[in-house]
Amino acid sequence: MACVSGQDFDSIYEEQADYVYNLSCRLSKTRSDAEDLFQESFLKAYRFLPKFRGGSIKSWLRRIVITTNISSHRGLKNKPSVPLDEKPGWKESLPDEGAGPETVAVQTDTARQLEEALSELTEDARTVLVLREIEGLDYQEIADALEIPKGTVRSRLARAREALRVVLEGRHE
Amino acid sequence: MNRERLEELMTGLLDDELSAEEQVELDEQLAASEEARGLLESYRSQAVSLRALVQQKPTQARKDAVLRHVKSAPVPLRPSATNNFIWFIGTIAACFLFFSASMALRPVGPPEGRKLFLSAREIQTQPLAQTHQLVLKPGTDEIKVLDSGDLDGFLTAGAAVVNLECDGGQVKGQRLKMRLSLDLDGDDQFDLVQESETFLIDGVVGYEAVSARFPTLPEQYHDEALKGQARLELIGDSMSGDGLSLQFRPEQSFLSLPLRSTEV
Repeated sequence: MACVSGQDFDSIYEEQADYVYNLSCRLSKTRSDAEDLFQESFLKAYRFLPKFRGGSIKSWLRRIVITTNISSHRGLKNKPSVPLDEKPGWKESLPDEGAGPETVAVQTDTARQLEEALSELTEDARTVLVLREIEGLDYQEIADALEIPKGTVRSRLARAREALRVVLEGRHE
Repeated sequence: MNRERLEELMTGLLDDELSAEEQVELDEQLAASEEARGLLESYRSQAVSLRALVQQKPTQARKDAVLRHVKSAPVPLRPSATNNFIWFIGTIAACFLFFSASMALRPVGPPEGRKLFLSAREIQTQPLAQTHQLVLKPGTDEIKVLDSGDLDGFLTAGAAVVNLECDGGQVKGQRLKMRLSLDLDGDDQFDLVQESETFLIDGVVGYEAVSARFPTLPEQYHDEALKGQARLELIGDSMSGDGLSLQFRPEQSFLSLPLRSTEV
């Protein structure tokens, strides 16, 4: 894509905004972080769209979201990870349509706990889990996205899964 | 088997990334340990729950607000022609100072008076450079792209400097070095082939500036009437540790740049 008009960006935005927003939410600890990441990612996408060389726009946007997220955390190492007025667990989780009231309650509670637990993980752990379990990337794709050796992906995933399990277990006790 | 090893094998199992030997190793552990089986079950359950998380969606108002903000923000796509010119002049001035300083320190200096330019404007006439896209191809993998922005540089009697803006993009190997070959007398033979140090292109979004300084040119070329050509090659190396080496495709293996002699 040598040159992209404003209209092209609009259609990409319309198609991909929900995807980028969801990914931003999953990678972020707080709502405000997610909102910032969502907006900053599209700012970069708009800026660099003329340089997009074709291929999957979704993969390209994913890479932008990931690198933007990493960059923002590199620059904010001293920022409190959870603002005082914004506790984890902010993400709304909707249960399956058609589920009974009890099932709905259990599903909602499970999802809420899982999201809270995710927000307690380190940046590396949360990112690799999101890419594998939610994005469904394979090891090579994760290695490419995070720019780490493929061999590192499995060990990082193993640590992340165990960390998540420990956090969840702590919540159940 | 220690706990860490067990967790890694289970992760390999969940992701279908276990070798046959590892599978046997894990099966033995699972058969012998109820705790191991419980751990695997909790990982499985965790994975299912993560995949079942409901997708988060922005409100329409939020989407509209972000779109407005994005489109109203200034977009510094490329340096303007004016900025290019100022930058180019600035670079020349800085290098002239460097050259002057290095000449001043020499016991016997050659006559000064000529500079050769490899300029972005010259490159515009080159087919490869019209796209500003340099295609790198690893040995057996798919084609990767190293996106090249502005390229310019110059030779003085004493040294060569090449400035390149590049974006590693999705290039897996993001180490880069330049090889400069110079035919200084126009006989279609390269009189000089030199390589720069290796640069790390760290994969951030957007262009990064690389400035390669090549060693001092041999004295016999210092006051030559220069009318040859330059060849610039970019060579990428893999960072992933698998030994992959990135090189240009044969038909696009280098930029051929005319040399232009200018009195200074």
